[in-house]
Amino acid sequence: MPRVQSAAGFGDSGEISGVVWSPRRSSAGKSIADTGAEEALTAARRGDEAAFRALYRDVQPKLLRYLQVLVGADAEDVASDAWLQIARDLGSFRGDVDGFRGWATTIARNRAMDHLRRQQRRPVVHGTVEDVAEPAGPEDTAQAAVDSVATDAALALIAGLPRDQAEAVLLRVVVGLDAKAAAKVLGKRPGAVRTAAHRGLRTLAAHLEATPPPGQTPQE
Amino acid sequence: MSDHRFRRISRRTAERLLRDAHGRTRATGHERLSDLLAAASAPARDRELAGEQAAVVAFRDARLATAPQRRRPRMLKIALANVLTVKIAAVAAAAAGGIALAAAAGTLPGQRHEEPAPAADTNVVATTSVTTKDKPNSPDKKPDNSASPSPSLKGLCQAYTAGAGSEHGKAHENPAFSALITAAGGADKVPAFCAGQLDDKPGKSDHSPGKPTKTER
Repeated sequence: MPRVQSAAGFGDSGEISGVVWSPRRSSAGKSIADTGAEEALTAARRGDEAAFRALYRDVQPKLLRYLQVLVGADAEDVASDAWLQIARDLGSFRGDVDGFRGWATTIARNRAMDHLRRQQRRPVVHGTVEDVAEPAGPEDTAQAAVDSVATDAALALIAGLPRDQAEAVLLRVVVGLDAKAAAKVLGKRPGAVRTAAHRGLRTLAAHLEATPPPGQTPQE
Repeated sequence: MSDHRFRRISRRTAERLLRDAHGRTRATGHERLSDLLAAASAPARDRELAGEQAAVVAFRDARLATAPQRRRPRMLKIALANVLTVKIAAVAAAAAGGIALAAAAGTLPGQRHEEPAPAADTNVVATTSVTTKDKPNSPDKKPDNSASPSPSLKGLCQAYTAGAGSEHGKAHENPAFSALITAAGGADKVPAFCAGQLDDKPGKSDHSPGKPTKTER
């Protein structure tokens, strides 16, 4: 049950806001941008609208890409729902920017699970790489994915992974969480999330290997 | 073409790829995978921020919603306390009415200190409702069966008086005070009415703030 999983780390939406995220988990990777985000978070908690905007611009694309893989075309609606809750509960959030990203992602994931439950269907991601890549042609998709601007193609490839691998890869790579924070979002152990992410990468690499690299003809 | 299998990614390389997707450090031998991950985590595109205004509006609304809430709880608490007073008194009067009446009438003189079956709180409230019945000024407004309004009016008066300093304007709007305003005969008559209510029962208002118990001194 997704709800149980996500509840393991954070409780339900009501309790989520009280969670204190351990600060400075990845301080080594802290950039100047993160320092700015840190200030934005503080200001937004106090009610600063411009600061909230900055947080939105930082987090929303990440959430949306993650949600796209979970709920497909409904990602924007689910993201809107999530932001309603984020906006409402931000005042009671305690933690740093990394914590905020994890917290917001958990909210988004809970909303996505609610959405899927309402729809009484399984998440979009459940097949293999080939299944999802089929409509556009697997080779085209893979080809486009290696282009640095082909974000959607890359996401489509990741979406083709088994769900636990896709989520693990997305949370680490796209949302930018470390294994521990990703595990918290998923309600799993960090080791399990790490393994799932590694498997996901290997599957992706295998898929890329099976398709010709860019600039080469399929004949080659 | 694929007679040579892809190079297996070590755990260490995998970790590096996962961590450095943003940093664009390309893992040797896995350039295409690095590119794919970089593409997945590429900077935001405009359409991905389409909901920004809606989110900001939600943020604004959430702030507006929380601001009045900070003031509300106090009045709500007071109103709630009074409603509870009324209910408890009414229930107690109904449930333990017989005992209370009997006790009030003095027909159970030997048992008063023995505290029969009903629990302690029942006795306390029953005593309250009984004592209010003794008041001469409440029965002329209310019939005998509604023993509770009297303490509730008094409670409302206490709440009104206590809140008069800070929440003066709001008190009239609060539905909890409508009974009080009706009883007083108008919003402007409430202070005078309450002064009478509170002054009338000095012995009972042991918890009314700033009011010395004249009778006991």
